[in-house]
Amino acid sequence: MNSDALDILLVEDSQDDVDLALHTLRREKLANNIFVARDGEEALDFLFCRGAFTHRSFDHPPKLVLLDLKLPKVDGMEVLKQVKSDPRTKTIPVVIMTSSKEERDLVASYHLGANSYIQKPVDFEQFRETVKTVGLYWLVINQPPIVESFQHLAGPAHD
Amino acid sequence: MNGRSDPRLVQRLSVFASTAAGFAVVAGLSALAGWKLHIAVLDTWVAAPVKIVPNAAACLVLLGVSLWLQRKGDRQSFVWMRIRKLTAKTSAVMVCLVGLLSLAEHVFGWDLRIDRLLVVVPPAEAIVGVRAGLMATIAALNFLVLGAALLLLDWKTRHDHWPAQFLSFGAAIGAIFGLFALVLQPRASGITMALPAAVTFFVLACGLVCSRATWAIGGLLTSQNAGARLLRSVIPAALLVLGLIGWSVSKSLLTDAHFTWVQASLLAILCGTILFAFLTWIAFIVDRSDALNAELERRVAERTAALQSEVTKRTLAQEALKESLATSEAALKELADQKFALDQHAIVATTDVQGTITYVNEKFCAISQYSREELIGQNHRILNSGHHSKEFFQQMYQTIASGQVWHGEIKNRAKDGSMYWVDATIVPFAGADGKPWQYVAIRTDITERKLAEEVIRQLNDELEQRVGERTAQLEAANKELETFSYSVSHDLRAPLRHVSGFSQLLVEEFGSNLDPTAQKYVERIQAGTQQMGVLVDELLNLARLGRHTLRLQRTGLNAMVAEMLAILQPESAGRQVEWVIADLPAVECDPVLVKQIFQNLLSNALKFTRSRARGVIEVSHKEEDGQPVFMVRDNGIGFSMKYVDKLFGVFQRLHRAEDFEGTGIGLATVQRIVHKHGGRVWAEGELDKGAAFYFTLGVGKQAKSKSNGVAAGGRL
Repeated sequence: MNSDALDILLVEDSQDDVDLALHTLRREKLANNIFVARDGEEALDFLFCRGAFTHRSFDHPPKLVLLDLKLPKVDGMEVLKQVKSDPRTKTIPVVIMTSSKEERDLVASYHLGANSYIQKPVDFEQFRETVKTVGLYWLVINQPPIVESFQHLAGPAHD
Repeated sequence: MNGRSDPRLVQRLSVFASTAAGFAVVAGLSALAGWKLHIAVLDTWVAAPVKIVPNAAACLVLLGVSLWLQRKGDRQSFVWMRIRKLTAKTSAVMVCLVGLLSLAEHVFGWDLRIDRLLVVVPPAEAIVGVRAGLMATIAALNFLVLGAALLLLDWKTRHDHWPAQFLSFGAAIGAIFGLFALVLQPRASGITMALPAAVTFFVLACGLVCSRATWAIGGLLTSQNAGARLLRSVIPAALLVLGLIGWSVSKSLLTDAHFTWVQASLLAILCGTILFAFLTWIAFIVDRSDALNAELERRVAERTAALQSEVTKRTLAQEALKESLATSEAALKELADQKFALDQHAIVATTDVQGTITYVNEKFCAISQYSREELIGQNHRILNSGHHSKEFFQQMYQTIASGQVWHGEIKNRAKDGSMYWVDATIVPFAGADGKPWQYVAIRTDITERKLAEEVIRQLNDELEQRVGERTAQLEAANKELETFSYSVSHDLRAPLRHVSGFSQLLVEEFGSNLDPTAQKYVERIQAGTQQMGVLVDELLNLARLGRHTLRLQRTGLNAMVAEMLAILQPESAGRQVEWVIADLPAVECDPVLVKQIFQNLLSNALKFTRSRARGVIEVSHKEEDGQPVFMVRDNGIGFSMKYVDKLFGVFQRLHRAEDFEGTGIGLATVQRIVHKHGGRVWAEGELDKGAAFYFTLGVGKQAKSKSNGVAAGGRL
């Protein structure tokens, strides 16, 4: 996987959901480079180029992070918090995709800087439609931030 | 003489003075007329050889006028008074002048012709030795004297108005002498006065004295003193005696050739005068002693009055004392009564400033179980229960020592060691120096109340503890429930999605290899998962309602209904549905929740009118008990009223799933929202005719909707 030209970081612990999401994204030809992190810690290591991902550079952030909230080790809300509070990562669009429709999760997510909040529909057809719309919007329609423009803001790594 | 004149006498004498003046005028005028008309009797009055001469008659008139004009008592204007006075004084001066001139004629033998001014007296009428018309010397003298008296009538010397009155007295003596002369000496001579003249002189002299009856001799006559009274009673008799004595003395003297009639007359007059002076002197002495008496009497009276007033004062003081004694007694009695009443109710004690007990009442002894002897002289600490802190008593002593009343509840120990509570009021009483010298404590036994309070407090504590425990339990349960519903929300949906997803993929990717039955099965799987998804969502919704706090705001319901209709539009596509939406009021409610009420009721109505060729759905409201009742009615398949109780239960359905899809949660949700608003909801229906759902939003009318809620509770 060429992490240098990464389109989507999918943070999802359920293999079933990963498969269904990847199936949809590939079928719609929305993303070629997708990295899947299976828990919060892996997602943070990936985004902050550490641990197993020290070879990665902040110069090539993913174009989109699809983040589940209920995750092993570090939960999605914590991941969101760290990403959005660090100048090197805060410009990365993060879309919460979760089964939860709890208001407190919704409010907390937006409060922490989530770019979007989507409840995964039970119906697969609707799910596919949702994923397609999200991918289309963030990868095709939306103008992503120019990474270099923000690099000078980056201070030393927090953690 | 003091001025205590008898006013009635003064009045009478004043009348006499006026009468005398009038008499003189009349006598003078008649005499003049006698001359003019030759009526001799008017000039002599009796068969006497001596006539009153014309100018004497005129002088009498002037004297009368002068006296008349100077009489007292008339109140007249100032100018008229002046004129009167001037006229009177002029007349007096004229008389004086005539008298003086006549005397001069006698003494010097002049003829001044004044005798012939009015009437010329024929020489035949002349008296021996005297020119015709010339008045007698005594008359001339009398005129001079009386004129002067009238001129000086109101002149007061250092002591009194003596001059005029003495002159009058002299004139009176002159008149008397004239009378004597007339009687004793029938042969007229130069000093013989005519009868009218003598009488008129006397009358005028008396009148003059009487005209000023409160002064000098007049005052002596009219005084109310004993001397004056004596003089008044003696005078007539004295005069009579005097006259007789004078007469007899004169007669007897005249028989003796040694005395001329003049000498005899003068002697008689001298005797009379001496007698009169003697009388007057006696009067004076009597008067003085009377005055002394009067002074004494006055003093006695004064003293008596003073004593009387003293006695009156003392009597009054005594009465006041009696009254105040009675008041004090009444007050004491009242005080005793109040003390008795107080003793019936309260525990009373008195202590000195050191806290040593100086007095206790029965109740005190009864509650403390000490005898009075055991308590008096003891410090209050004998009762200390040890319940209160040192600071408590310090604060109490500080309060009362500073002169303020202390009020509080104290726990005391009785003699047998048992405890009792009192509600105490301690009142400090200050001495003259302003510092308290004793404290009176009034207490009420509140032991029972304290026990009751203690029981209540314990009960309260227990209750609070139980409430706390129960709250903690509830909070834990709530927390658990939240965790549960969160898990349900998250974990229950994921597998459904997977079933739905992979079965879909199965159809899509291997659909061509599946036989139609297998494909149908997959479709059933899909439908099942969808149904399950909706179920989970709605259950979560219902659960969430319990935690939802109402956010009330005034909301127009018509806009809300219109919004719902737009959402439901796809469901009614291809159907003929008539919406009858009435004007709905704006109400205080949570719009998010009330929107759900309308969504559930309207989608139900739409669903159950599906079999109708023409569905009619009506939204309206009416007023009931002052609050709006909202109604959603349809002409759908309705329901049997015997199942009305099941209508709002969770998972309760009255129709088969294949006829009408649904979860059986929608109406339960509606009911929960309505109840959350304090309102009630109920339904009416008839199978195959239609159904009507009613609800109220009793926000702000909790009290009212409470009773309604009970009724609704029975029905729902």
